[in-house]
Amino acid sequence: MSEVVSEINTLRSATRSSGQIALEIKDLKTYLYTRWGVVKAVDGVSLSLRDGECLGLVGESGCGKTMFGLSLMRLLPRPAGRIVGGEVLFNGEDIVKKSEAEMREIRGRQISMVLQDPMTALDPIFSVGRQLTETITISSDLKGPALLERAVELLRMVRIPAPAERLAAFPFQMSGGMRQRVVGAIALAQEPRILIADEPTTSLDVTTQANYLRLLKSLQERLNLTLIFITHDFGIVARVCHRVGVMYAGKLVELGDVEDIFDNPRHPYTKCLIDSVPKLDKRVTRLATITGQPPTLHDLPPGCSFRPRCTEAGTHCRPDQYPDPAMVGDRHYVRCWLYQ
Amino acid sequence: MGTEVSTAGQDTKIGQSMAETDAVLEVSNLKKYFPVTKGIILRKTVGQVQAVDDVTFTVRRGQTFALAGESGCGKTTTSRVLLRLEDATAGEVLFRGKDILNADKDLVKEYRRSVQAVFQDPYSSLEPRMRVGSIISEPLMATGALPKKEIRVRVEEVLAQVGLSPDAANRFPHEFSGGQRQRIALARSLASSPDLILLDEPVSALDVSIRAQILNLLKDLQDQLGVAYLLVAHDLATVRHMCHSIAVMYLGRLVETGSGEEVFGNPLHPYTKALLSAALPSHPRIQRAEIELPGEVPSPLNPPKGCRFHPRCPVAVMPQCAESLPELENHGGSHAVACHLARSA
Repeated sequence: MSEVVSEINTLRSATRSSGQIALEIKDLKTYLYTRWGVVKAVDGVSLSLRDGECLGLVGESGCGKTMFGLSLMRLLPRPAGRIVGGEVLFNGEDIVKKSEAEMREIRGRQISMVLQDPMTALDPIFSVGRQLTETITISSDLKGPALLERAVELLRMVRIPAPAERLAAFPFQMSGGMRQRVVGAIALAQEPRILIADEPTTSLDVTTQANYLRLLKSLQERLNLTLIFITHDFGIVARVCHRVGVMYAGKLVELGDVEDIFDNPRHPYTKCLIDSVPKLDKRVTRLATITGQPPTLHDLPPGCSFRPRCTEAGTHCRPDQYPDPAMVGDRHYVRCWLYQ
Repeated sequence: MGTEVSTAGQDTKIGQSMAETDAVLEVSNLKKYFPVTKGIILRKTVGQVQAVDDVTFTVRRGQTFALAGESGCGKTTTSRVLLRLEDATAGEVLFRGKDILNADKDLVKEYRRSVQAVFQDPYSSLEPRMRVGSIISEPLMATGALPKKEIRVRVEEVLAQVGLSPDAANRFPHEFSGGQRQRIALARSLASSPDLILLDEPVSALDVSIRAQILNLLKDLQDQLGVAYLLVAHDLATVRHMCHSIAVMYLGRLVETGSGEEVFGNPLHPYTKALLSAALPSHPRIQRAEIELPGEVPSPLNPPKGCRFHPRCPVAVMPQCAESLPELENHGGSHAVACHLARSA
C-alpha cells in the first residue's frame, strides 16, 4: 500500500516539474450578452498548464467552468458568447485571435473535449464505427481496412470488449459507460495534446465511474496528455488531478497543488466545498454547509462575490474591490482579503 | 403543536402493533417480475424481468434504512412497489403490522397518508402550473387528513419546517432554485405527517453545497418528528452519512444487509467490497486498493445461474457459486450476507 502511494507521489512530482508549458491562459474573459444583461461567465482567469499535467477545475453549477472549457475550444454559444479579453497561448500562438478555419485545424487535433452527457454526444442514427472513422479521416488519409483497423485500435485503447464487433453497433445498443468510452475514443482519435473533460462521469454509476477514471488516468499518463478535468466533486479531483483550481462566479479563487489544497485549503469557499461532502472514512454528525445560493452572474455584488455567503467575512473585506491573487505557498495562490 | 396532535391521532387509528415493535415497514420475500411479451395481437409472454427478487427488510421507526446499488439493481422498482405504484408479484409488505398489498380501500388511503415520497429531480416532480401552496396541500386534500380551514396553517407550518418563508406558498416552482424546490418537495411529503418517507436519490440532482443543506435538513427533521426514511441511493458516502441500516442490492437481490457500522466497517460480500473500493477518496493521499469488476451488470431478463454476481466476482469462484443461489445468512448481530464464500470463510 505505502509503496503504491510513494510511487504515485513520485509520478506526480515528476510530471509536475518536468514538461513544457502546453497552454498558457492570461486574464481570459468570456462574457455572455443575454437579454438579462452581461453575464461574466469567465472573468479574468489566468493559469498555465504543462505537458502531462492534470488540472481539476472545481465549482458549483453556474460558476463558469464549462464556459471556460468552451472558450479554449472556441465553441461558445453564439451569438451570446464572446471572448472579450485575454490570451490563450498554445504553441506560442494566441487561440483567441485564430480564425474559424484555423480553429478547425486545432479542434480535435490539438485540443479536444469530452462533454458531460454521453447520451447526447453521440449521433443516434449512425453506428459507432461510422462516427469514429469520420473523425479519423479528418486528419489522416487512412482508407478501407487500415481505417477500420485504426478504429478498432482506438476502441481497444478505451477498453471496449470485442471492439471489432462493436464498430457496427449503434449508440442505443451500448450502456452509458461504454458510450462515454466511445466518446473518449473519438476525442482521442486525432491524438490531441490537450483534453478537456467536462464532468464526464456525472451520469455514470459508481463502479463504472471508477473504471472510467482509472482508464482516463492511464491514458493520460501513457499519451502524456494535458488534462483539464471540470467537475464539482472533490473526490474525483483527489483521485486523478495534480493541481486544482476552484472557481467561484467566473473567477479562479484558489489554485494550487492537489495535496496542498486538501491539506491547507485557504479560501473559505474551498474549505466549505471540501467539508460539505459526506465522506466514507471520516464520519461527522453534521455536514458543513454554505448558506444561500450561488450568485447569478449578471448581477454580482461589488467586491468579493463570495462575501454574502462567507462565514469569515468581516471588516478586512474591502467592499468595492476584488482581492488580488496572494501567494500562500509554493505554487498556491488564493484570492481572498484574509491573505492580502 | 399540530404535528404532535396528529401523530397521536394516528396511533389510535391504525394498529396496536406499535407497542410491541418499532417496525414501521416490514417487507418480506417481495418479488416484482415484469413480463416480456412478443407479438401485438396474439401477445405471448416470452420471459420475465426479475426486477426485484426475494427482498426482505425492515424499516424502523425514526430510523433511516438505505437501499444501495447501481442503476438497474431494482432499488427504484422496490420503492415503487412499496408506494403501490406497481403491484407486487409475490411477497408481503406489513405497515405497522397490517398487510398493505392486499389492503382494502380505507387502509390504502391511510397508508398513502402515512407514507410519502421525495423524488430525485425537483424540476420534474413539481407541477409547474400549480402554486407551491397548492402543491403542498394536495396530499392533504386527497387524503382528507385535515379540515379545509386548517390546511393553510399546516402549509405554513411545513414550509417553516423545511426553512422556507410562508410567502413561498403563493409562488410558482420556477421561481425557486433546485435546492429550494427539493425543500418544497420535502414540505409536500411532510404535510400529511407521515411515518415513513421514501427518498429516491434525494440529493443527486443538486449542487454539492446544496446537498449538504438538504442532508442536514433531513437529519434534523428526523430528530424532531421521528419520521422514518427509506433512502434509495447509489452514493455510498451519502448512504453512510444518513443511514442506520443498509441493504446492498445487485440484480434484484439483496446481497448484504446490516447496520451501517456492520456493513461499512466489515463488508463481507465481494460486491459490497467492490462498491466501497470504487467510492472516491476524501484526500489525494488515500489510495484504496481498487477492485476492478470485469464486464457490465448482466441483463435482469436473463440473470446468470447460481449466484447472480459470480460472472463478475473478483474472488476465486467455488463450484457452487455457478450452481446455487446463495441465501442471506446471518453473520452476527443484524449483519447478513448472501455469498457462498462468506459462509465457508
